[in-house]
Amino acid sequence: MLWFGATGQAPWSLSLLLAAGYAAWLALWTLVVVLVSTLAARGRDALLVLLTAWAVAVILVPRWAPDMANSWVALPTRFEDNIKVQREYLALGDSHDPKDPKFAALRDKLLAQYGVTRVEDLPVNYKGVLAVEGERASSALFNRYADAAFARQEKQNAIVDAFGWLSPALALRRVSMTASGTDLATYRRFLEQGERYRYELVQGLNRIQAEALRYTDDTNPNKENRVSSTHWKAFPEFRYEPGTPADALRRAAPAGLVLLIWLAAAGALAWLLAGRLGRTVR
Amino acid sequence: MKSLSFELRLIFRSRLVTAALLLLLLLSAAAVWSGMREVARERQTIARVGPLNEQDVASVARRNAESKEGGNPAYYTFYSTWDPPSDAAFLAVGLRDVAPYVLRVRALGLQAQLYEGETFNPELALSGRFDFAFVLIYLAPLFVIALLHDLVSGERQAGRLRMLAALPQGARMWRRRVGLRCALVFACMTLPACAGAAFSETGVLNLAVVLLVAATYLAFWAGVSLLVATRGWRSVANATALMGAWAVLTLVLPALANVALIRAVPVHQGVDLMMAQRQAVNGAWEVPRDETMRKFFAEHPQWQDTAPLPSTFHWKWYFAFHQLGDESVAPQVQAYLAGLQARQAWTERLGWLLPGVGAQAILHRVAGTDLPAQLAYQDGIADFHRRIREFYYSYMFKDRAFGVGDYAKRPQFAPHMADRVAPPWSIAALCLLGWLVLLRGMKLLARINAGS
Repeated sequence: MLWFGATGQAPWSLSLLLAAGYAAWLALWTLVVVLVSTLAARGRDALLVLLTAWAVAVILVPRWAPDMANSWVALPTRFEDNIKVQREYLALGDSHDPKDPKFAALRDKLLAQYGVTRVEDLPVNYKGVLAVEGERASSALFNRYADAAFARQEKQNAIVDAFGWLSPALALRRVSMTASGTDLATYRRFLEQGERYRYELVQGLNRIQAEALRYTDDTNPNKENRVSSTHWKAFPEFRYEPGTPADALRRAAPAGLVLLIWLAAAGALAWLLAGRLGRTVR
Repeated sequence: MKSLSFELRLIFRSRLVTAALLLLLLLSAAAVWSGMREVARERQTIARVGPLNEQDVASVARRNAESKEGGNPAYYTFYSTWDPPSDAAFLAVGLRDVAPYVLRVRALGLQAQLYEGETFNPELALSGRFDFAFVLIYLAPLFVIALLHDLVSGERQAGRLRMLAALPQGARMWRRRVGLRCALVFACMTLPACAGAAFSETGVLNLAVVLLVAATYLAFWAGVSLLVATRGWRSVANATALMGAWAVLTLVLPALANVALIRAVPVHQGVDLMMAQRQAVNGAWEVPRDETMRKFFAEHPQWQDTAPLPSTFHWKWYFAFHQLGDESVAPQVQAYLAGLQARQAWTERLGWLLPGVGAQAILHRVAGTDLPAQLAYQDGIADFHRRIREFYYSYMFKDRAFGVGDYAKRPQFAPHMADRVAPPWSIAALCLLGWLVLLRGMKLLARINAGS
């Protein structure tokens, strides 16, 4: 991990967070081993208790917690979401049809703005304007459903995170995934940037349709409309903007705190017991 | 009988052992209950989406009431398909938490629809589900180890070993002890599963295979425990060695094997097929329409007696290039399936060596939640999709009018249950390994008496 930081492959703060997380994990187990060995009457009992604790904390709870989260907060199937989205999409109106009454208000506003009475007289291609508006409305609809699905998944993850109080392995996993950028938030970030890129691309095309084509040409089925390829060559490439380390630190903080409290509790107990043990020996 | 009840009392006098057995019973019961709830949820979802899709079809029919062209309903009508959970699915969730068990398809290119994933939370899917298979494969060995690791060393440390070894029927006493402890673990493990099977009306043969797998897997771990317990080490050393064996056999080796398998048999994702098919379909707009139709008729001569394409858009051309798009990725589909099947075959072979992998594979097979079951569902969808296509083609290519009444003639999906017979070789290999190890352990145990 130090090597990651030193070679600049990962920010220092996140490498340190990762190292600190795993160091806390190892320290916690060291303390727990000492504690249990102090308390247990025989070495064999200590071993059995520790192995049980490990099996529960590392194997059982990390499987059981997601099950609980899944049954408390159910995700809708893609099947149902698709049908619901389709229904709302149809209710938005057909933005490919310049005569769709759902877009009459937009048309009237445009006509008033430019002081003309027919869409043919507008200085912009009305079909293109309609496409921009349709894409805006449908993307807002799709994003609303995507946000709802992610909100549910985040709720599920919050439940699993709460189980970190029961099993510090879950808290460690949260710290680890957040620092490495392999958690749900990072995944969502990538998807949303991809979607934003797609949206800008489509709206760029729609704006070309609105500005570079004439309405009378665009609605003429016998005319082939083409625009120069320089337009799309000007479109930017997709570039992923990773989140800032500060952002990751903030996301990892609650789980880090859980891990620290575990460590502090184990440390305090060990301190108390060591004091008692010291007195008995004396 | 008297000595058996004496041994039983001896076992239950230890609070640790009693607590362990109760805990196992509780875990197994919780896993079975959780699996049954999951199955109930799946059934509810399946029951819910059917009517929802019918509403959708009714709205398609309303919107296209004026058009008599078969292409409009063919394009807009979705069909519901579903893969009902089997009578043993509650035992092992398997792939069903990430792969869809309800999927809607329409007459367009199938390859762009078949690999649509289900919405799932990747963080939750990370560690796998808490089900009966998990409790049996990962947790039950720990209980066997806890109950057997100090079988001999405990007596030695208590100073009773010499006396026990001198008993005239000592060998039988050891057998009774091991048998009783294993039987108790087996009972705690499988009683909830039997109750679940009774509620779920699981087939007797399926339940028998599950019980056999559970017994054999526990026998393997009892055997391993005895191999270590009879070595004359102290209890702590036994426990450490056995935990190490458990970690290596159930966690480390399967994980390493999985990584090796993924590297050795690379499989492209279904989404790659989706992309390739889409590229072909999008490219088809630039291909001369007659060329597309010629290609289509060469593959599907039964539709060639149709009117020539009009100068304007016609749906039959559109659907023809969608189907050609599917057929253009057929070699990739074959390679994809071959890769998946190769992985499956290697996993099976791995199961001959690693009893955890073997037992899990058999349980998932019996539960109908493994990869072959998922592929069988996809096959069922592909068959159904063929019928959907033919249904609409009989309107489009024959220029028959598609009226509102024709919606009722749509083909209906009928799920067909996947073949859930576990490969006999896998069961035989697991049994051979499990019972041989136990036999060896028992022999070593009997020697304690003979040798002393």
